[in-house]
Amino acid sequence: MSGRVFQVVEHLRDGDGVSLVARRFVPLLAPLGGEGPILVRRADAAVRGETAPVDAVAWRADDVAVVHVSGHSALEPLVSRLPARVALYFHNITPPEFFGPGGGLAEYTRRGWAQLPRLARAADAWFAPSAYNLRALEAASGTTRPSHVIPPPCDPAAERAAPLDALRLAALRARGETNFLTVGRLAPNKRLERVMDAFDWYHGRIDRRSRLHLVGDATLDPDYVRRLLAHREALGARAAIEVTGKVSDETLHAHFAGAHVYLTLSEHEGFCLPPVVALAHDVPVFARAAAALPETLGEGAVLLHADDPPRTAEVVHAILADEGLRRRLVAAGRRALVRFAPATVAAAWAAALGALRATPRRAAAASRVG
Amino acid sequence: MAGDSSHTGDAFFSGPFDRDEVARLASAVDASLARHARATPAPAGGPHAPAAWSAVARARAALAVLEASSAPLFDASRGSPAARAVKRVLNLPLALLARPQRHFNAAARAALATCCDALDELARADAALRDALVVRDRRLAGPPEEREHAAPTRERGGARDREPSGGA
Repeated sequence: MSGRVFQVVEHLRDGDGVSLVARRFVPLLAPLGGEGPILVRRADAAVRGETAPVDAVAWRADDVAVVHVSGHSALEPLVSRLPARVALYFHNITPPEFFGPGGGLAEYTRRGWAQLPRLARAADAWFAPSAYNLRALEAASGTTRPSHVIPPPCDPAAERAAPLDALRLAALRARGETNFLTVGRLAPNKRLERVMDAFDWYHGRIDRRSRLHLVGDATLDPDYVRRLLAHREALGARAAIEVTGKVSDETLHAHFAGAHVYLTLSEHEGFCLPPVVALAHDVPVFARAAAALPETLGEGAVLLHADDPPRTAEVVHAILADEGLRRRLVAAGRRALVRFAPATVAAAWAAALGALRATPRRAAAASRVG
Repeated sequence: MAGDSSHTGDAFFSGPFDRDEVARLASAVDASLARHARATPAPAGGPHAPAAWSAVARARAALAVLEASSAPLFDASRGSPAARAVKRVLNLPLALLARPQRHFNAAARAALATCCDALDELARADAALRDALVVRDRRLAGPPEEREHAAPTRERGGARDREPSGGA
């Protein structure tokens, strides 16, 4: 297979989902012409060694640029002038309605959706972690392109062997409590207040020996975090709800290893990697059947079809209390992970890139050559 | 979802269980829900939620606000087209003359980030201490049946519990 493949991410961050997906793709793309460094305009210090400046590349016509998009992108000028084939990797964009009106995040996501049709039309192909995202891209742009679903890889053996914070894991286990876990940035679309409500019912009426851990970056939406913390203070279970903020990879792995339940009631996800990682740790996953989550989790999780925190808590209890059901749920989770095996994802990349390279560049690309 | 999904139109949940099992579970959930709804929730007890975690969240929120600020420059990405144009013009002299303020802002960001990191460490130490206290209190004061009561939870995790594989 000829030609180079570059991943392009506007800002590679330490710990966020989009960046993590791009980083997981690097070893899979290497045999397919993938260049090691991820091209960026900015990078957090912790991951800067994995990057190169996007402007430093002398692009060739047989190159492929996989441009990751998850919001308004400053990469649009680059996309429009690249001589290479361009594949948009669409992570989806949170609808602005989830954020407070007039705030920076609402504006950022609104501008992202407004820009998306232009980016979509400038691309030769569309890739995404879910068919849900590809449908959103088609609806937003009013056009189509050759499309491929390429989910991020998840290797259960590697997940379980990852270095972890032994002290944190010991602390999680020392209490003898049922640990509920939700991982991800504290953002309003995650409906973390509803997770708290479900846990409050479980903790107050079913099992006092329980604790909810909300693990994730708390800096995205300070207003939401303030409301969330105020919501916690109003709950009877407040003493058993821990909001950790952003944690190290080792601490995060400890939380997965120490969890008994993974619960997400998110209403908008383009894929959602954390519950997949939970499956890899044999943690039973309960998720709201919203956006891409049913596609991501398939038959590997319990899907909740309505917003009803008390009933959610009771379903969790009913399954955890029945060891046979719990084991079958865990086994189903393992089966669901087959789709994310690195070899399977690598094959998806090979097929997608092969098809892209076999297709003449579109008029848009030809005009990019100038 | 797979074609053999247990989800039916009006079911609250679906999963890798057959329809009869889902129906049985749904009945059990209804009964349990009714029983628990009549019961008074157990009073909140134990130590209050670790305050340090809240402090970390608040400090990181403040840092996020500071990092998102364009000061001393006007934010030319917001406002009406006319306002943006005016801001771009006003930013020209500010870009040259307001460098001391930008240096000050960068120092303030760095100081706050350091505070966040320190708070983070304090919160971890606080959590570790609380964990140790809970274990000690349970060992000293917990009746034998309480330890037995905890067994199912440990058994549930037992199948997965593993020794740390490295790191840390």
